Amino acid sequence: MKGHLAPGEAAILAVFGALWGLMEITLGTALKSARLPFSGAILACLAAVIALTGRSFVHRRGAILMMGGVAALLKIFSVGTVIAGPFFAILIEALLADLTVSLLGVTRPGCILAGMAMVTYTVLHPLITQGLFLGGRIYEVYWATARQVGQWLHLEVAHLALFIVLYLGVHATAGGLAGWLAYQVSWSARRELEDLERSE
Amino acid sequence: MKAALFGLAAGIASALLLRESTHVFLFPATLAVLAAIDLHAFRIFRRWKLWLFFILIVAFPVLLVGTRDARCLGVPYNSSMFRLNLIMVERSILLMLAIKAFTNRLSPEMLSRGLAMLHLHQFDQVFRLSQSMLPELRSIVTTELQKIQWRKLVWHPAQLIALLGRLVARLVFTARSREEGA
Repeated sequence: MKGHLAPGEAAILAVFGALWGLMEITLGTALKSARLPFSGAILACLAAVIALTGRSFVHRRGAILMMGGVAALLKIFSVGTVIAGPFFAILIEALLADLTVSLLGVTRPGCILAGMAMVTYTVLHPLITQGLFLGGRIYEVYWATARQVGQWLHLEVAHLALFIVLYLGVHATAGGLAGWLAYQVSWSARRELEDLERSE
Repeated sequence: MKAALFGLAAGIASALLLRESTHVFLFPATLAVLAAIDLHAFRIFRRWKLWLFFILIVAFPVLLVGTRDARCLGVPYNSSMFRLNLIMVERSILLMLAIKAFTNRLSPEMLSRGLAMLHLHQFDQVFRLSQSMLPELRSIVTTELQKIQWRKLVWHPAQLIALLGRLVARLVFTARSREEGA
């Protein structure tokens, strides 16, 4: 982030970073303990709405990364110890959204693509982590196992590819919707804010 | 901290050097070093899900994929794949332990200072502000969310945008007035 933050910007980043962190701590813990499927994707969708709405009020590169940093640290503080997995997942999601919005601006397509990137990354995060810890061989093991299971079920590689594309597509669609919602909410909030400021 | 850094370096180096020819002595030796540095790091192996994952990635493909050229208790398995998968798991165990031993010594405050160095100017200020605003934030969000009649929203989803917009406006307004008051 270049230069010093304007008055009010630091507070807005703090509010949205804290909101993201609060959501990760409360809802994240609840979803994990309920062992609901797609809990990572649900959290990423909500994170996208919070981060992109916050970014629409602070027009600076690195703003989402800063909100993500606040959220990741709050999560770590709530646990008490440093858990590398969620910490880096939040930071990477924030970085992806920041890069997308920096390239395309806080426009409707920019928000939709940033949301897609954030939520799709939740599918890739465990694969990347496993690749880092277990090495590239884990992908060979997965590939060999998938082919063997495919043979038993009389499925072709194309079917497997279709399943992967569908799985990623569902995540990308959810992320896109979250990005669209963030864009709409930020416009609605702008109008509400004008009314609030006029009434004060 | 120096011991944790040494443990991290030793764990990563051993994981990279782990081969079929070296793993018999390198793996237990590195485990011993890491145990001497931080025995608490071994608590990560209390999670049954981790063991299930290891068993699945070692045993499942070995019993099903490729040429099953050896037998254990009468069950045929792929011996070369078994050796390779075992090394893969040993490598991940070393890396996980080394990282855990290192992160056990890290405090959130140290991480905060580290993030502040990532060209994120005023990160410290923003983080301190967010911590101080948490109670107020929690109260605003709870009050606004309680006002929402979720059942009605199912039939009128467009209202959700207006309601969230109102919540966001209140948050931004509070943030700005706080900054002006400071």
